[in-house]
This record gives sequence, C-alpha cells and structure tokens, in this order.
Amino acid sequence: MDGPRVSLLASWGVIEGGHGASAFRNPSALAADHEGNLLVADTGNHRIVKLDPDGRRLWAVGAEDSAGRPRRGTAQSEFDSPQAITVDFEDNVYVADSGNCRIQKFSPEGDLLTLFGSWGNAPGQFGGDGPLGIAVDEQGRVLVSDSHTADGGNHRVQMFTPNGDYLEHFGSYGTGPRQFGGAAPIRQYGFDHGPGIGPGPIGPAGIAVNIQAGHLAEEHLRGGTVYVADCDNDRVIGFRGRTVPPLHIGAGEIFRPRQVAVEGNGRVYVSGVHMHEPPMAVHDLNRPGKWRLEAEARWVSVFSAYGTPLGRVGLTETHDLMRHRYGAGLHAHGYGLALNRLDESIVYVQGDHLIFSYRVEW
Amino acid sequence: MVTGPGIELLSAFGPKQGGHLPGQFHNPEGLASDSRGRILVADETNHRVQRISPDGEPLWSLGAVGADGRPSHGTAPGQFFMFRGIGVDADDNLFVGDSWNNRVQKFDSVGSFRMMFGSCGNKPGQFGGAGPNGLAFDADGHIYVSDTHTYLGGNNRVQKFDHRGRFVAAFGGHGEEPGRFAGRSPLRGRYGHEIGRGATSPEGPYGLAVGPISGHLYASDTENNRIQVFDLQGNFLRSIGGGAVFQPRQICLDSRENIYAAGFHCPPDVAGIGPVVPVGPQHRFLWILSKDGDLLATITADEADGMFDHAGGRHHAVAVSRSDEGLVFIQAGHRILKFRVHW
Repeated sequence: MDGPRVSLLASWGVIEGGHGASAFRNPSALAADHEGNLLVADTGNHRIVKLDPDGRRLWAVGAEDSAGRPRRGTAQSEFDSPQAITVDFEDNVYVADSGNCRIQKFSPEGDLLTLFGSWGNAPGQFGGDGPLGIAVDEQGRVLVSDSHTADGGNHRVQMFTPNGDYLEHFGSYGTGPRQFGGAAPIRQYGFDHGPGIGPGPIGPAGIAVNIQAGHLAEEHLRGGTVYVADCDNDRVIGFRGRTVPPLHIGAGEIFRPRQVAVEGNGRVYVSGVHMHEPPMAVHDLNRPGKWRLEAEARWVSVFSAYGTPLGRVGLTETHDLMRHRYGAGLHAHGYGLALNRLDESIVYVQGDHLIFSYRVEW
Repeated sequence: MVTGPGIELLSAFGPKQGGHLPGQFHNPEGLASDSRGRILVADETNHRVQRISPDGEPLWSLGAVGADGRPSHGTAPGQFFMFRGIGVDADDNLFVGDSWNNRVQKFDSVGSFRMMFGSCGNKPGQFGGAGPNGLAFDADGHIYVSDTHTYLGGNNRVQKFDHRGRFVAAFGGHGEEPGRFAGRSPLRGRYGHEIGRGATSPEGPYGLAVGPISGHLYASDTENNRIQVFDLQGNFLRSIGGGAVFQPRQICLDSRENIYAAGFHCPPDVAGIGPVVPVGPQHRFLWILSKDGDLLATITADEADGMFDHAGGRHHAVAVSRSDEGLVFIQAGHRILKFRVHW
C-alpha cells in the first residue's frame, strides 16, 4: 500500500476554536457544492457556514443570543449540534439538525426551503442522537442515518423525497449484513439520559452515494452504491441494491468511522478514529472517563470502490495541531470530510476546531 | 346550586364510534374557532386538522394520507402525529401543537404551511415527551405554548416564543406552589418508562388563553385542579377555580373573558384506574367561570342528552364561536357537541 502524496493547501479556523467569523467549534461535517464552495456544519456553534474556495465566509445561518454569540435553538434556521450536511444537484443544502432530530433544507443562498422529522421511532422520526448522516442519491432522494431511541435502536437509513415525505428505510440493529451499530449490547438508551444525550451505540453515521457507479441497473432499487459508516461495527457498508450482497469495508483498518466521501471514480474516503488499539481500554488515569487517543489515531482511510485499502490522508504536522491527544471524548475529533467536486484531489478534513484542505495525489 | 343560563344541545357531529372520513373524528382533542365561527378540530388519532362549518360540514383538512388513503401520521410540514393543541390567532392563522412531533406548526387562514418550531427535549424551545399541548397568542405576536413532562422529569412549563418561533422565555415548572404546574402527582424520575411514548402524566399546564380585556395569560393546571393567571412576563397573579373545577384541560375565553374549561369527569381517586364510574351531575365536564373565578354555569351529562360518552371517551376540548358567542362546542368522546348558552 503505497498511498497518496499528501500536501497541505490551507487550514481554516482557529486552533482553540471560537465563535467569531473566522472560527469554528468542532465542525464535524463538511460538504462541497458544485461551485467549489464548502458547507460547514459548525456543530459546537450550532450554525451552518458556507465558505468560498478560498475559505472566505459567504454566509452563516443559526441562532444567536442578544450578544451575538451562537446558541442552540429550535425555530426555523436554528440548530442544535448539527452533525451532518450535504448538497443536492442544485446545490441546495440539507442539514442534519441532530439535536433537534430533524432535517432542514436551504437554498444555495441559505434561505430555508423546508424542514422535516422529529424525535421518535415512527417512520420519518429519528432516535435520541438525531440524524447523524445525510446524502442525496442519483434520483434526488434524501438518505438519512438514524440513531438509537429511548425505546431501543432505530439504527436504520431512512429515505425521503426532496420535500421530506418519508419513503422507506433499510437496516436494523445488529452485526449482520445490512445491520448497523450492533457491537455494543443494546440497552434502553435514553431512559437514563434523555433525548439527545444518551451514549447509545452509534449505528449508521456518515453516508455517501457514488452516483456514477458502474453497475447502475434497472433491477437495483438503489442504482448507485450507497456507502454507510457503520460506526460501532467498525466498518463501512456499501449497499448496491437489494439483490446484491452488501460490501463490508475496512475490517482491521478503520475504527469508529463517522463520515464517508466518495470520488466519482469510486475511491471511498472514511474519517473516524482509526486503528486505535486497544480502542476501549486506553484511559487517561488523570481524567477518568475520558478516552486518551494516540496522535496517530485519527486520519482518513481510503479504499477502492470494492474495499481494497489504498492509503491514508493526514499529515503529522496537522495532527500535531489537534487537541485530541488527551481526548475530550469521542465527539471531539476530526470527523468532517469532503471532496472538492471541481477538483477531487482537494480533500477537506476536520481537525478538531480546524478545517484542513489537503492536496491528495494518487 | 348554580342558577345559570339555559343550556341547549343543538347537534352532535360525527359518529359515536369515530371515523376517518371527512366530518368524522377520532378523539377530537382540541377545538378552536376562527373569526367567522368556523371550527378547527385537532382530530388527534386521525393525525389531521379539520376545518368544519358551525353546522359540522367538513370544509378542508390538513395532514398526511397513507398509501391506503386513510389519514396517517408524518413528520413533513403539514403532517402531524397525535396532537391536541390547536389555536387560531387574531388574524385567523392556525397553530397546531404537533404533540408527538414535539413542535408547533403555523398555517395561514387557507391552510398553507407558514413555519414550524420546536423539538424534543428539556432545553429552551424544546418540548417534553408528550409534546406541546395548549397554544395562546398575545397582541404583540408572541406565541405561548404549554409544555409537558420529559423522560428526565417534568418540563411542565409555559414557553413564550416570538412571531418567528424563536424562544423568548419559559416559566412554571413542576410543583403545587403558585405559578407551578402538575404537582398533585409526585414527579417520578422519568415518565414514559412504563407507559411509553407520549404518556401524559403528570399533566399540566394544558390549555392556554390570553384575556381580551385583562391581557393576562390563563393556564389550566390540570393535576392541581385549578386555573392560574399570569402576566405576559410569566409572573404569577392569582389562581382561580379551586374547589370548582376538576382536572381542567382545554380552556377558552369569550369577549367578556369568561372562562370555559373542559375537564375529565372521573373523581381523582378512580381516574385512570379500573372501570370508569357512572357519570353523575357531580362529575361535570364543562365549567364556565367569570374572570374572577365565579362559577357561572356548568354543562354536564344532563345537558348532553345521552350524547355524553362515558365509556372511556374523553372530554378535553372546548371552543366558543368567535362570531356567535352563544355557541359552545365541546368534545364528547369521538363526537363534537354543539350547545347554545342562553345568557
């Protein structure tokens, strides 16, 4: 595995994080539009920011308090810890408003178009951690990863029309094919912790669709390959329609995958906490309950469309900037990931409160 | 003994057993009148809003429709999930307390979606597990929403939002003290444990209304068997109805600021446990109070002429026509009863 040549083009944000116009706070999801702009789910600031190709802010949407600081909110165009974001073919923006258990859809200019979803386990509802992944497929349908609920696990991918009407879902809780999140025993999460703060098993997280997949066929319900980060099962599942067995990608290579991006030619990029051994046993004795992560523990792994490991994206210098060595928990890491749609050799990766722009040459 | 106005039952809308066709209802748990006296019905287990004429003719409805053509719950704009709160503001905009979606939706007077806000939780702007219940509006465009308990315990508060649905303030909390709600039942750790999603106990605040004369906010405090009055900043002013009303749920006001409160008809000792006791005159289910709390009239099983469904049916909703204030609409199980009060 030779891997790609990686160089740093730019880093955006402030190392220590912040709420100013040039800062982010744990921007844990990224999406590139078709104009070369970058959409940022600025999770800890409860806002969505659109950046031009040079990292300049075009607009931001989210609630602010009377002093102009970001806050969480429940009105339209307000967010609570958004953790996934994507764009459709017209560069409309879908945001997984995770803490509010709903999806909000915006125009390329940031105007609200619609919103849908709520907390629960009925069709169209999302579990206690809210939606954690979102993508648009080749037919414009919206695929959303759903988390556990207080009553057990949703652990499914739900599909909606562009207007938010529920269509169907796939997946369930477990470790088998087409199942998500099943590495941890399922308890009645949320009873102890309430909506939104229960550390349930994380099932499907990031989603990416390869709409140029070479095996589009009539008999496949889902024409493109749908890659889903199956976080607590430590794998990425590639769905290729109902009749073809799914691919399981990343055994032994990826750990707790969170976001996925796919190139037009099929290469799959996966962010998360990778190859961290032994993952659950390394504690910092000075900070009980906090995970201590090795400096090398977080990078982006890259696979072929069929799961062959190709290499990793990440630089020692940029890892040194991140604050995860005495980790503040599994939520405080670099999950955000996107490929520039005009030039797929440009890869955007979150590093704690920063966003790195890498040149990746294969 | 109250010697009040004459009460006349005019008609009953919908079949006793309920239904899903237009003009039929299934647990119409919320009622509101627009300025022309048309009634907006929170058709709870049909997951839809119906607008009906004062004579019960179906005009239009909002809500999801399933593949089988029957009403269905949903989470998109204009779709609902088990809701009870409904209100119409001074401009005839419709607000729906979309209970199990834990949000409020706003529509204009012809039923076009305008906005929504809220989600599930106990933070500002979020609603408890049974979702928002009552709705009220002040002259400055603020929206008041009564909030239920959560898995974590009780929200049991009134939340105030601006005209765009942005959180402004919250007041109340679980307790029996003045200004608090639902404290008659002890607050256990996490409601919903045993009884699942949407469990409604302890209940309160429930119905909300802003007085057209005083400008005060009236909130029915179901479990505490009273109606509390606040100023619009949430300061407690007084409590009324104690000893007269029992388990008040939806309330509405007429232009004289008389209070119409719909209540459950079971005595507290048996409510929710075992067979429902026979309905007697002492188990009144609608009270009309003056704004100072004097009991002006009651509508009981006697006036309901056998339409009163006491086999588990609920009687939580009430609306006074805004174009003809003698007309009072009351939920009776799956039906809506139309009365005339001869003042």
